[in-house]
Amino acid sequence: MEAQAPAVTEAVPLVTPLNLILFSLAAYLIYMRFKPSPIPTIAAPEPIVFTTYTPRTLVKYNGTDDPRILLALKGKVFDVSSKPMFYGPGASYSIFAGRDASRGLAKGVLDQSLLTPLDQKLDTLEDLAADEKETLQGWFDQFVGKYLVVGELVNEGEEGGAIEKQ
Amino acid sequence: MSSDISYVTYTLLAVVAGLIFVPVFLDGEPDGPPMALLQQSSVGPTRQKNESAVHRSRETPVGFPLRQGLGIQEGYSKRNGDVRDIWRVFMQKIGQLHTILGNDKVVHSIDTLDAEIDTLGHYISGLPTIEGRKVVAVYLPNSVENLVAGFTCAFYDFTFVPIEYPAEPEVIADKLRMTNAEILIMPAASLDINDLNVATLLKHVILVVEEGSRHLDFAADPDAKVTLKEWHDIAANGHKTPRPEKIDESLPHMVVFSKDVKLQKNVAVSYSHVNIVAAVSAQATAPAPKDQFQSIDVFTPAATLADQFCRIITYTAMLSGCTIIINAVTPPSGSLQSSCANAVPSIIVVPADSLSAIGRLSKAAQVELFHEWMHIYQLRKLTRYGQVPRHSAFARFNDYDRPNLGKSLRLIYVAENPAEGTTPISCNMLNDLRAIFFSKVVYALTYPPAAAGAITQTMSFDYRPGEDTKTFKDSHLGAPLSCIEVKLRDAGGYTVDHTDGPMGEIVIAGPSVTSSGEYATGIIGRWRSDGCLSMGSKA
Repeated sequence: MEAQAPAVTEAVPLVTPLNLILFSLAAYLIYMRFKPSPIPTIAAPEPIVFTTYTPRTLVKYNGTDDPRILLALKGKVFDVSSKPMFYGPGASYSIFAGRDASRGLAKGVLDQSLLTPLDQKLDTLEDLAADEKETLQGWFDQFVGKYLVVGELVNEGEEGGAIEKQ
Repeated sequence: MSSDISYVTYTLLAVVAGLIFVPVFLDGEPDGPPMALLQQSSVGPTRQKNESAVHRSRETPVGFPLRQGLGIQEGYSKRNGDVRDIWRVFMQKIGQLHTILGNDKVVHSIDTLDAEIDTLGHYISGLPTIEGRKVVAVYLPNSVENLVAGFTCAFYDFTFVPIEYPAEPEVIADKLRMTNAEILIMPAASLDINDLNVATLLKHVILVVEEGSRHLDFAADPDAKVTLKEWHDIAANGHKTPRPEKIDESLPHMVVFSKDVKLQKNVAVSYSHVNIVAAVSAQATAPAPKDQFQSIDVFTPAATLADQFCRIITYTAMLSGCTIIINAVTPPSGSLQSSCANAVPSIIVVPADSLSAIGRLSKAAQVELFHEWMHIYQLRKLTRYGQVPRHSAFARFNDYDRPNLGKSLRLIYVAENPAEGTTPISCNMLNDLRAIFFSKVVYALTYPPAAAGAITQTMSFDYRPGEDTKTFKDSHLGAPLSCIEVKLRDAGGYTVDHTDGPMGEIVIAGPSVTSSGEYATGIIGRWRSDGCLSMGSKA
């Protein structure tokens, strides 16, 4: 007859793998609860500085020399970078990029000959017919609603006056 | 393996389960969407060289018109309205007006007050004055007569000049001189009138006599060089003239007195009806929707009604048809608790200095360890979970000395006024105040010479702790109201190109602004990356 094993009270195992896992999980949860949370911030886009351009300083913003595309209409400079499919290099209206587009849009003609050469004074648009002026105003209103006015176009040598005026 | 599972394991399991599930059920929702605090104003896409971009309220973003007026529906169209419409809407929404006199509450009949507007308007219209437009100075404590006088001036097209009560006779005489006021409404026997009409144009005085003293004839003063009349006498007379149909909304309606930071002297500032209704309507929608004034709210102006911010908030409460409870006792001369006694308000306006003094005193009164632990717990609730602490027996167990304004209190308006040189209240101190009062606190920037009402104000659920920069204290004043646009301009060594964010002189424009174009305030501010304005020293 085999001897019966004596009934001993087994010690409670404290450090077991399961207990360790549970303990570290509890510690992690407590840590997460009391961890200082940084205040999040979101970066807002930098506002564009309103600038005074002359025909010569504007011409580089044609999408090729500078990734920004600007064009001038009735003395205001619009940022049309959001629509490169119209004004980007090789696009249908690309001849207006970096230039004063007033006369071309008023007449509805995409032709280099209607752009004021860079060395000449700004186009005063006084000789336009009434319906052409109306078309131009239509374009202008559409541009104001669609694009940002980021500056104004002045004759060469007058840009200092515009700054002093402020 | 099975022998490994002991009561220790079960305990740990319970702890882990508790840590996972208890927050799910007990943490609750924050008071407002936390992401909404990250960009609180609508920023203009372009800016001038020496200026910051224009900041606007998210309600009226750049490119949309600013809030102009009350938007009173009339047929199929809306109109901006004027100050008269505030009273009309208050009557229409069956708002109530109570006065606290010690332990008694007087419930006023709005129809009687409406009749008093007519009788007072009739009496003042009949008074002979040198100038065509009548200027009515009102030197009264917070009282129903004070409000009625304001609306009388609106309905009968007088200029309304509220004067802070109490004041020295010289100060009052000075203010009468600055405004050429010929008519004064004041409590009976509070001043010797013959002190006042020296070197002022004062001709007519209306005396407000409290009910218990009406058997005395205050109007019969043989020495008086002015005509005296008692308010209750005018009301009892019952003579009325029809209210004028049209009033000129662009003429000054209310004149307030303030120090001008730029001119370094006291000025009298005129607000037109347009200024006031724009400020009131913008204020009505400025807090988060569930924190806005509702008709069930009980509002107490715990600041003098001569203060334009307190008055604008009171008008906002009237526009929402709240119950207005008025007590003549107001801080700083009286205590906040006595000012709200027997009223159980849900929304109050408190002067900034009084509120920060209460904050300091109550903080110092937290002498026991339990008070400190409770406070830390409540601050954690605010900053981490975005919840304002709630009233409970446990939170007030063995309580420390703090003002008890009743359990309904949910919103405290407090305004920073650089003209008065009040010390800015830091974000952390505002959180202390939220824990002390169990209430939300809205902190506004006002500058009476520049604009009616507030210029910017914090979101009602913005409990974020402060951030420090070298130049600016860790307080912020929130985003612009929907009737105003704010930008900063280079001034005195502060530049908008600063790496800590644009800094400069605060320049404002909009319908609540006193000048038609831009108004350069001369106060230095800084835009934080979250679109809030923080204030620094003066220019």
